[in-house]
Amino acid sequence: MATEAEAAASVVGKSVMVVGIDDSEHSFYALQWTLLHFFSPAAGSSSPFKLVVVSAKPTPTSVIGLAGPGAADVLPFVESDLRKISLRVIEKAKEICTSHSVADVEFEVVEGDARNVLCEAVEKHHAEILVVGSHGYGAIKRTVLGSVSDYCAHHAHCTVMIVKKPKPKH
Amino acid sequence: MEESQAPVMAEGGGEDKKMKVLVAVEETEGSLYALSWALDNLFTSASDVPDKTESLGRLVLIHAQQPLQHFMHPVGPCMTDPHHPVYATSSVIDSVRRAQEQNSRNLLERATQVCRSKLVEAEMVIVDGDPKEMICQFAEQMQADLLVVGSRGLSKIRRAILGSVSDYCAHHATCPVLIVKPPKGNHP
Repeated sequence: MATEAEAAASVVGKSVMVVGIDDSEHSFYALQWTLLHFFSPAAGSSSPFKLVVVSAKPTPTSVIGLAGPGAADVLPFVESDLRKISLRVIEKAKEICTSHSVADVEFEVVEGDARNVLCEAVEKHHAEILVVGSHGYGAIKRTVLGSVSDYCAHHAHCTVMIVKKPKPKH
Repeated sequence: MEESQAPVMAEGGGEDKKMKVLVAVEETEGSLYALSWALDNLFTSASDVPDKTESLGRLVLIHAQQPLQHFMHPVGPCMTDPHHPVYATSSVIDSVRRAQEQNSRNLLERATQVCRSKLVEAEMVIVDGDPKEMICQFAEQMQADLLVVGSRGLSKIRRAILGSVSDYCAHHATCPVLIVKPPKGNHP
């Protein structure tokens, strides 16, 4: 039975869905939305997608900017801080997945710029679809696409789904 | 089934998966590919349901017709005399309009064929106006859960010059947007 399932998964080629997350409410919303609409338990025994959750951990140097002689001392602290944050992000993602009863998930933390990390993850997993949240930095414009989602929308080699957290309606 | 867009996700039964999906259909190959991609990946079901949309939500195809002014080109005597305006005769307008409608019908016919071949029933909407604005407006009106657009994979500069529907929708649609890229020739 196990080999049959394995064979089935590899032959049918369960499409891979990569969800990019970071330490923001928008990306967790995107993850929840995706789970709700694509991995609902009512959809049958299995969803057509295999979920891979990727969290990009910025490099300490990118955060500090390597300025001044004191940078070398600060580096380890920044590094451990970033590691803590990314672990927390993954933990929260795991919680969200379990609360939606989705067990077949891979979690990855990759160091680097989010833009590149997500596009590379797509290549690595031969993903069919990449899901990203959208920050919407602007308070000025009603909807502004965050730079990571914009980059991914144009450079990822697969379908990209941009999930926006809806603004509360008045 | 109206789902309120609250920040906290409500847990529910099988109703949760029902999605209202709006697919933008244009005269590009990328657009029809986007449609079949959406059908393959969004409307799959474990069991063999004769009409998949029944259990999985609503699929609406939208095609936006460009406003007619774009098709009018000044020809003839006005070239020599700038003060002499050229009006397209009503017969010209009619035939252009008819050709445009025929075009849209053919396009939507093809789209329906694609849907039917995947056992999905789709509704069709034709709107007049600037495609990007109309598509986003309609998505908001029908409270779509997901907007699907194709992408031509244009470079940054060409996107800026030619205008990109997918770009516009990604920025301005209020609902999640799915941008389907044409296959690069390597299928997983």
